[in-house]
Amino acid sequence: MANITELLEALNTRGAAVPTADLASGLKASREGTLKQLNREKDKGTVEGNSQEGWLITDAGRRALGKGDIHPSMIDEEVTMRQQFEAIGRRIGIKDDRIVLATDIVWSGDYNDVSWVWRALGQADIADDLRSVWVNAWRAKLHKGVPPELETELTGVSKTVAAEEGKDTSKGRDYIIIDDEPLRVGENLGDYNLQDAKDILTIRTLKGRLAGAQAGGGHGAGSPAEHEKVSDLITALAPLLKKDSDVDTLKEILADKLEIQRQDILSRIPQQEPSAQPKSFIEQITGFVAALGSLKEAGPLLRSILGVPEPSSNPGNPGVPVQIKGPDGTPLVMDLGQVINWQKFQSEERRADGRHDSLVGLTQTIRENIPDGIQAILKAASETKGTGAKAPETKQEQSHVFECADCQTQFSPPPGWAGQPIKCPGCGREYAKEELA
Amino acid sequence: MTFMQRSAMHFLTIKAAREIKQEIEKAGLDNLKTLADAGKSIVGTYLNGCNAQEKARYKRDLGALLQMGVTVDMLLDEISKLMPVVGAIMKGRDGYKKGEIQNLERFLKEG
Repeated sequence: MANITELLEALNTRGAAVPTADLASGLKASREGTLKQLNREKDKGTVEGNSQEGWLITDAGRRALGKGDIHPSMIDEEVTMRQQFEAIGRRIGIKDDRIVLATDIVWSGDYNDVSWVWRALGQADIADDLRSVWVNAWRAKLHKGVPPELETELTGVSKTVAAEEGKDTSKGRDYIIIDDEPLRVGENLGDYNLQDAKDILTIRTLKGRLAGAQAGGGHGAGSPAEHEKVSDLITALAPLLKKDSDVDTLKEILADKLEIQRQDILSRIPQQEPSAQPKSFIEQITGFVAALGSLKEAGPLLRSILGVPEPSSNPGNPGVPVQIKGPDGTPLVMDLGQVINWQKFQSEERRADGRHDSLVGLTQTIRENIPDGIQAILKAASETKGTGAKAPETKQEQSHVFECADCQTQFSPPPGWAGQPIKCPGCGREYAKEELA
Repeated sequence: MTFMQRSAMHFLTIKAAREIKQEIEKAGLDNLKTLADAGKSIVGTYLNGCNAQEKARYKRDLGALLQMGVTVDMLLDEISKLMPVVGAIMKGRDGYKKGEIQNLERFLKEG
């Protein structure tokens, strides 16, 4: 809302009468607010005109504008408590004369007292429905709560009435169920009343627990103790059936109960395992070995749990069948003799593989050395035949160096020496073969 | 000496000569010829370049060869057959060859 100075300046710049709407749009204010300001200024004599003919500034208005002594009051700004109280009445639709009368009565007492305001408006003969709206709006403006003595009047529902109407509201189908929560969608716009919605949610919870118990406990016969029994769940459902509910809800509850009973009965019937493909002997043996390997890793605790005896140091008696319960509870019967035979077979295979690898390496070595070996054998054979083959021995003999005992002269035997006596080249002493050896 | 012992001795000689040939090829024949021309011992130069472990291995292998009856002359003859160039280098250098053999014997006896 523009202030008075702006309003008068806007009128002063126009030569002709200005419609209220044009003036409001020029001041960027609401039409109603501008009209109120104009009416007040008209009372002061600064403007003249009306909404039909338009508005003009008067000489008094120009003088006030020229003096610059226009200071908007709280009344001008329409922010006084009385003005706000009257504004509420106008918004409600009460006639102006009744508003003035009611406001005068209210302002004759403590207008901050909600109870007094209620009584004053009653004295002004304001209708109860409008009166409660007016008082509630005024109470909200004052930031005050509902006085206890006016709870019935201002809320429209008394405690006793609310208690009595509780049954009635519960009978209305105001609720639907979304995400396992009852949600009110309006009077008779939903599927259930509040109590039925709660009951259905309870049943669903029980069903979920039952389904969880069956899923976690296998086929029910060997289910763990911590899961609830079906009979307990049905017993828990029984009180729900005794309640007064409409036919549809009762049908749904009964259907749920029958579903629970059906699941209970089905769980008690022993079900056959789906026929599996017959395993081959190799697959069975592989499974046995894998089971045995896992048992070794598991240690004595798991072996005791599964009912497998401790491995004995005496490997005798290999044909005794042992019953094993697998992880799924299915009893398995395996022959340890087959397992031992399989392990024997495996160790023999390992040994054979190692032997084969050694043979391959040896063959490779021989293949690499065959030329040298053949050459060596040929040399040895040629030496044996004597075709210049005594060279090593001859050379060995030639490499013998003797030293004379008399003159210390060193000498060697002559080539082709075969044990004949040798003379020392220094002193001529002759040495026999026995002396030279 | 039996036929098998003779065959084994020749086999070892051939294998040892092949190893020595590989070492000669690594060192380079020209370098060896330069050493021989300068009168410097090839065996001594080579052994000086070996570490203690290599020396111990060579000593052990040569000792085994000698025990099997393989002499240094036999090895040199075999190397000359494998590498005729080496034989040509050694030809006419009896003193040098004898010195090399003595170096080897000294190497076997030392330590």
